[in-house]
Amino acid sequence: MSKESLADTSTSSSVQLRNNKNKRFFKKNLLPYWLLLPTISILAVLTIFPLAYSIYVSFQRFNTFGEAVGFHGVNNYADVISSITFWNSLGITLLYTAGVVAVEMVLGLALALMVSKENKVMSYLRWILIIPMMLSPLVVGIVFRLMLNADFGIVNYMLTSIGLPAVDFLGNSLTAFLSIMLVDVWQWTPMCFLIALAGLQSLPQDPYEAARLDGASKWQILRDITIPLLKPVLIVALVIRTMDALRMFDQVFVLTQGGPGRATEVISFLMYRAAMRFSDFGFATAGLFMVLVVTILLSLIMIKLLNRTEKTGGY
Amino acid sequence: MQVRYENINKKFGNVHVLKNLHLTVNDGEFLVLLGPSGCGKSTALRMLAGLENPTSGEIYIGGQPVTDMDPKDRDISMVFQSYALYPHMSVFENITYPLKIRKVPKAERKKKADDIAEILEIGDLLKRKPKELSGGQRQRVALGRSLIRQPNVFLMDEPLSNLDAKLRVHMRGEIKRLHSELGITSVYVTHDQTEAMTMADRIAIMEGGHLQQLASPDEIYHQPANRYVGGFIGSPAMNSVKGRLNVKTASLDFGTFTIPIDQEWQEILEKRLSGQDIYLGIRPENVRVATKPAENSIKGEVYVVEPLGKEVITIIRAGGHTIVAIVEPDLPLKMNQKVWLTFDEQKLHMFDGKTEEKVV
Amino acid sequence: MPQAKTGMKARRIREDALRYGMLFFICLVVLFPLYWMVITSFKTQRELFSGTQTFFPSNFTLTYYLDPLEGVLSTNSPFLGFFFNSMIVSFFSTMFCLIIGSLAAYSLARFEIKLNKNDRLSFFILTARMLPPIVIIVPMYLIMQQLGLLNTHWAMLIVYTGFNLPFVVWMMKAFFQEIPTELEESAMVDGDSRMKAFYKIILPLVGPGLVATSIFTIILTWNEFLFAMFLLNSADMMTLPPGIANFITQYETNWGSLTAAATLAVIPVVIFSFFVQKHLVKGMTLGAVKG
Repeated sequence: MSKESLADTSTSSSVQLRNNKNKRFFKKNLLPYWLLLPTISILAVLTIFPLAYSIYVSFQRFNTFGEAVGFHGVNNYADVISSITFWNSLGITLLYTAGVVAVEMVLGLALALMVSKENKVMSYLRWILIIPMMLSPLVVGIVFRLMLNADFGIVNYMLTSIGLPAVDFLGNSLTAFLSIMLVDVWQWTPMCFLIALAGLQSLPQDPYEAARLDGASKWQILRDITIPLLKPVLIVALVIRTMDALRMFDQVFVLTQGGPGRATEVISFLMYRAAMRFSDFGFATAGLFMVLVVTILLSLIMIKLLNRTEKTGGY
Repeated sequence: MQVRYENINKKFGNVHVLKNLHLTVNDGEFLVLLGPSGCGKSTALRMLAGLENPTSGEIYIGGQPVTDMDPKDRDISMVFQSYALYPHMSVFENITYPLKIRKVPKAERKKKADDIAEILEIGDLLKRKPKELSGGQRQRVALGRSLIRQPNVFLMDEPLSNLDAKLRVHMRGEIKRLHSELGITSVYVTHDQTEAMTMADRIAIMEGGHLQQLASPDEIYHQPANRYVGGFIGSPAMNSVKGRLNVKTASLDFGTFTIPIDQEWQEILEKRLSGQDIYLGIRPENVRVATKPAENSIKGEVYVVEPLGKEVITIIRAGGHTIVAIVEPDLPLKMNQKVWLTFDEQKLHMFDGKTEEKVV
Repeated sequence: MPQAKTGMKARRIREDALRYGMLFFICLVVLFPLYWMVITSFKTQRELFSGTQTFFPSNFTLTYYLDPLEGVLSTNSPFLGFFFNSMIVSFFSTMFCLIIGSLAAYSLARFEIKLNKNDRLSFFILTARMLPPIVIIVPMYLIMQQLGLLNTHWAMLIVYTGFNLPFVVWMMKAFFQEIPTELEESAMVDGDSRMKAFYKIILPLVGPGLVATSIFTIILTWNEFLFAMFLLNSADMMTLPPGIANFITQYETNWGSLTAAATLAVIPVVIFSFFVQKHLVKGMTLGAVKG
């Protein structure tokens, strides 16, 4: 055999090896993708596709029967932007979100601090305290509607029996708005409580011992150690609660239907009404896109905040 | 069975953890991969197991290329640092799991488990769950699971590092004994030089993704291939002093002291050194300390005295150099005392000042 | 010194009394609405509307549960149908979610793949969860209309499977990450293939996580209102939340039936939530906070 042919056979066999290797490489390395494929495709079909579809819809004109009757350009968006009800609704939503999230965070943290001690009574208390958030918001709405009823509601009964005047909670703009917030606080403070509690229980003990030796008071320990250490966890709670509050729908649906007037017409409800009552899908989807942008911006800001605290240490 | 790494490279992203590794483990040999953390020793082992793919190169077990084989087809067994016992299975189920996979009949499984349990003295633990075992017992179960079938190669990844010091010494002996009884080719990864020295037939020292030296423990200790190996093996570490070859005076110049060399040595050094710089390596036990000057002795001052009972570790400052010596406990040394050092010339190691490779 | 000690002790007792007093009050606030819901369902209409409210029904009645005309458990009431529909939809969508989501979660927890650099893919999956449902509900309605799936359980199964998948993926990912990689590696060295190691070693170990995740998914589906209201419109298809909402408009004043239905709808959730207590935090925060 000549030198050349020898060299030839050796290269061809190494090529064979390489091909073989590539095949195996792909077989081995594609497994993770196969596992992901069903999830990704379902999510793509159920989120990306509807989103794309609703972009399309937001540029269409609809007649009163909910039928698309042609291209409408950016008119739907213009309608939304020039609509007073939209801005009113956005304002209500933001005010509502800011209010309930602030109250829930403070109450939740305070509650967590109160039951963080480990004993039997506390573990039962914890279970009781988290029940509201497991319930259907719709059922919660119904129960509060019963209790806040102007004529036979238990709340008014108690108010009058101690000599206070009865209030038409859901019939008056301000009290209706506050009632919706109250229901939210009742149902979702447990979420903040739960997250804060988990954070508290995972905190390291030595900074506390060191602070106590340094002579810090309880209040100083809370302010200088607990809250800074808890910050990343609290931001998680903040993000989750803000997202949920921004899209709140069920309680308004049961309790006020957006009323009285438009006093409690949060954005989800406004768009629901546009779509279902007036079949104006173009207006509804255009408005929803703008809300989506607001939501994404807010969440990006908060995630940035979270990343920063994680990078600077947190705990 | 023989194991061969041929020109293995491994990159994790931009990190090149193994560089052109060539390594052959002989049939029946107990080879220890030794090195600091991050040197690539665990990666090398995991590649042999098939848990990691090399970026390039080929691995052979018994002459057969296995680089693309799944772990299950390689017929190897492995003891993990964390033992990796299956928490939901009893000790018996854990040990016999490899046999169950291979569809060995139940009666035979039982017999083999009893045999191995007897060797490892865990016969009374067979019904327990891993969480009910102590660290040492878990270690034995992990060994049992690896040894129940006769694997081609037996791999161990820092198996003793989670045990306390006393148990570690004990298990060290046990593993070595098991190996000599079963004669299975074994690759053992550790960062502990004592484990490596006491257990290995040969040691492969790795650092920075490179194989630094592959030799018997004895050779590694007495003839380190480079300054890194010299410094890594031995406790306290080898003294290493940087100096220059001075041709005119026929000596090695270390600034505050010189060591004269004869004609023959000078020629060798001149030929082998890449420049003039040279590292002189000397182990602490080869440094003699006296309270009076002698011929060619180096003057120094005692800095720290650390008595260990049977010997005393003494740190001495000589000129700009710090030299560690092991002295007899009956030599009365005090801090700041003047002393005179001589080096055992037979035990000097010389490394090139630039490449840090052994010169002679 | 002893005096200081008793002073401290007295202060601690005072503090504890205050703390437990407040907690007692808070528990009252938390539990009272539930209590009120339950007792209202046992009260007669007349008692509810009488001028004085009673904290325990003076005429205890089961009318709203068992009465052939008004009782929610009677065959004349659509309630049992709602309950049954909710069970079907919750069970099947949870099962689909778990099977599909666990595989993805395992992939994300164990493999380093280019697509998921810096957890990009995981976050993409999470954003699908953060989308306000109202945003996709209109197109979803129109799509289901096109497909002829409006007012079918299929529509609900599809929507709930997709909607809860991100939750399942994130939660299961957190559970998988708690299991040391060495266990699969050991099983693979012992002779299993990767997928065999997954279902023989990893799946049994992650069992409690699977149970917790499925309970959460069931609760989420059980409580979901908006999608169900949009996509279902006949009583024989409806799940509990839109069904109960229908009670409001249908029998505006029949608080007895309404609270009886609400009570029955809540019972499974309260029982289930007891079992997932331990994993609540992980579930609620998608594993972002260790609990």
